[in-house]
Amino acid sequence: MSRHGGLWRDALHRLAANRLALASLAILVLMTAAASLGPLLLDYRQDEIDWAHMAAAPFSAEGHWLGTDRLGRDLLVRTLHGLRVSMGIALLATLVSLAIGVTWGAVAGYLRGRTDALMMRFVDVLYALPQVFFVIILTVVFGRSPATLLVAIGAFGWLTMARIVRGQALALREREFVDAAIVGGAGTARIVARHIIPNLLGPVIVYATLTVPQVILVESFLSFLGIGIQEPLASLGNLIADGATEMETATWMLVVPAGCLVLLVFCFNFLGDGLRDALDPRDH
Amino acid sequence: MALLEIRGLTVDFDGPRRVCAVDHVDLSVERESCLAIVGESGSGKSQLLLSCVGLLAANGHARGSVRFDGVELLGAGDPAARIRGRGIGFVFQDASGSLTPHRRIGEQLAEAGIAAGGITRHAAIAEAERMLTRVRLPQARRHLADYPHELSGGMRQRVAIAAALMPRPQILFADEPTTALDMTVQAEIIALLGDLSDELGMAMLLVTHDLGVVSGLADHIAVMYAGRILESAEASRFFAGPRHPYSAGLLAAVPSLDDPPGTELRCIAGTPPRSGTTLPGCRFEPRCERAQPRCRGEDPPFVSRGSAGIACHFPLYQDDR
Amino acid sequence: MLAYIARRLLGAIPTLAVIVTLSFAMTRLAPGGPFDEEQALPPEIRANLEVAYGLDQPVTVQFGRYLAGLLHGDFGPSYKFRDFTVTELISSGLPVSLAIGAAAILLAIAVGIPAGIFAALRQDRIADRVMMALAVAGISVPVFVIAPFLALVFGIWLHWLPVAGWAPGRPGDLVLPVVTLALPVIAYLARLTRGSLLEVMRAPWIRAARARGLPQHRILLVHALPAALLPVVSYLGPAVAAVLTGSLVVETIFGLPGMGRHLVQGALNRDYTLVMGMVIVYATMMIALNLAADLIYAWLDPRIRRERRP
Repeated sequence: MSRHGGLWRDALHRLAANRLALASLAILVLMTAAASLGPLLLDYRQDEIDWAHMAAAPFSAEGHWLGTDRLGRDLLVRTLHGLRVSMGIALLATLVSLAIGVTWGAVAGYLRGRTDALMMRFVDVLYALPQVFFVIILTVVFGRSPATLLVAIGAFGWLTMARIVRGQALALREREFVDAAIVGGAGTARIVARHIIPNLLGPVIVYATLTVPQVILVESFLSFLGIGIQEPLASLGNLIADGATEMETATWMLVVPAGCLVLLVFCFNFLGDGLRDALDPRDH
Repeated sequence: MALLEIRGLTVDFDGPRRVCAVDHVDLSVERESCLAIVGESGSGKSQLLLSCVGLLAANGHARGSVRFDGVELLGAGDPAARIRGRGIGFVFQDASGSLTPHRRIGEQLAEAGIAAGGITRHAAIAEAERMLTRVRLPQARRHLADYPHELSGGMRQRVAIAAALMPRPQILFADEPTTALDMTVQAEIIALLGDLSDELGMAMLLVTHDLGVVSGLADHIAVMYAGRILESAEASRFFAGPRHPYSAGLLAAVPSLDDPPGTELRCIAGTPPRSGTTLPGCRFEPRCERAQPRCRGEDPPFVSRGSAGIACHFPLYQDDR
Repeated sequence: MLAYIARRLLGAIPTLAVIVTLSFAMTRLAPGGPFDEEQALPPEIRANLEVAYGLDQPVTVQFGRYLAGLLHGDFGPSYKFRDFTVTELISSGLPVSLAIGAAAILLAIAVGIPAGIFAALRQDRIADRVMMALAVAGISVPVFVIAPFLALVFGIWLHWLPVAGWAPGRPGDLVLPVVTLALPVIAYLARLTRGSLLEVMRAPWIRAARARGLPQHRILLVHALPAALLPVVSYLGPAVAAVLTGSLVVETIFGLPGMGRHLVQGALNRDYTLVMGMVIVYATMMIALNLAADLIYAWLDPRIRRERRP
């Protein structure tokens, strides 16, 4: 489909011209690499207690580049682990939301009529529910494991995706190539899979990129309060909570994970904005 | 002295390419007369109107001279602000885009009257009602409390005209006032504009691409193409015998009820030049059936004789009839 | 307009019903019971506890009794704070949370909207760029990062404001929490107002108003601003949700005796009834305030207000 090829190439050019988005992408790649490989390359393990250097400032104790927390655990390693956990949950939850949302929205938008109305009413009702509070209930009921968090957050994230996809599907359904496929004898499932979904890729990619930071924030929020990821497992949220209790005497314990989180969220947001501008240029 | 004198008006726009929308236009409008500017989309006619009253977009620049009743309207600091809504009234093409959606129309009319100066709110509302009646809006008093979306398209355009007339301007600028309306309503609005200009002793500068509108209203006609005036003439003389090949083409393109069925529509071959491109010779040359080598190399100057003018090396009817 | 109000009110009821049912269902259908965490509970005592709390009845009966209780404002007993009912815990915390939340929203409106207007009027000049950069920061940085930093800078380093606890009659205690809650909303409102105003100023009817000779300040105040504020009113619903969620963090960090802190405690203790009751209260507040925002929007937009007319 040469028309698609042209669309993607233009988008790529626009994205390449957006220095902020490129810088964000680069930083994200670096952070992913650091989170995945860093702990393997560093001397200390995340739960390893260095009795000699408790609450040490950055660069003051050998081997501890960013200092230690009050239990003597290396802050850099813990932060990288926290990054791993936060990014991991965010990506997986986003994938779950994507899978449910895209399917739901595509089917609703394609089928239209009463099925569509019913499906979207369901979305509307769920949309009115306060996400964070229900996730809290779920953690109260099912325990505070990373798996619960993942399912709970993913269970609410698909709603907006479904709305967006359904809007696109409605518009696409009117286009000629769908009629051509129907005339050619293709069934509903095949049309949805082969024709509708590839055309939705643009908005879906943009929205997914913008969903990831939201999920990170929800998970961090809960971990901060102690309702999310539990000690001794590190998440950026609970690292920030620890840092907050020690901030008077050991400010780095707050600054390092907080800075990491903020940087992560900023980069995803800028990248998502850049993708949106690239795929749908409009002057703001 | 003419009420409105435009000399050498040029309008450029900044952007990825510099675009010249209006190129050294000379026009004049006498008191109580109606000048119609005819042209295709993209000929620059709307920008011409907007530049006179200082309503160009931020990236637009106007040069030259526009004198209204002796006062210069172009220059630094928005000198046209003094005549907007006073000496010059403006009617836009899209009436629903002319009225603020969240204010009642009575309020908007009264506002226009108060801004022009000196009357109380009470008097302004009374005048608004009178003006609505004057634009033939039935049950004017009831409609004062309406919001724009509660009226039909034709009624909204009448309201927009009424708002433009509140300060009793000496000239009414109308940018394609009937284009967005149904056929039947168009005829009514045209008749309305003609009657109003007679009743109020008002001049009109009308921009349109519709020759039917022109024939109903205009005393003088100027034909605009790619930012230039190609021909200007008194209306009856124009319709009797246009001198520029483009004008002739425009008139010939209008289908006649007397044509036998099956007659092909006559159109002018080709398309207007893209805005921003400049040609060394006559702009119309690529589409002109009478074009000669001289036309490609040399841009014909606009030559005026009395109330008529033409920019062509080889006009139809070289001599005056 | 009345028809619109009635429709929206009716629409809110199923949502409320779903919330109550879902909350209840989730807590009852979970594996294990609320007393599983208690160590060293002999089986007979546990059985007695369950009878006392009505947990031995079939689920539908429990649901019915819970609903009946709700109608009387009775959310049941707290499973962990044995001497208190949930209602008591909620009502002790509600005034504090409401006060902080309302103050935060009012502050956000009072600061955010004028800031956005100011930025729009100075579009692309230095003031605008600086304000929008700050706004991006305010939107992206989460409340639980802002709160400790503000506490650190203003409380610990500068000693200007207290950082924890709240005694009635010491309004200074509330400054940091309210400001922290308000900041993300201020940032969003500023950006939203600016964008909306700039877009409205480009509308054709604004140009037409200028063509009618109206002075610029009148165009801005009477013609542009009301239209520009419509999207802002729409945002008030989500803004309230953001403030309510943020209050959980703010009350915890600053040690304020509000509902949010009780909810967090309840969640940490796995106190089913407390969590359930609080979620219902929070959700009801959100729905009610969302509804209010929608109604304000409908009232302001004459196209909706005057639905009857042809």
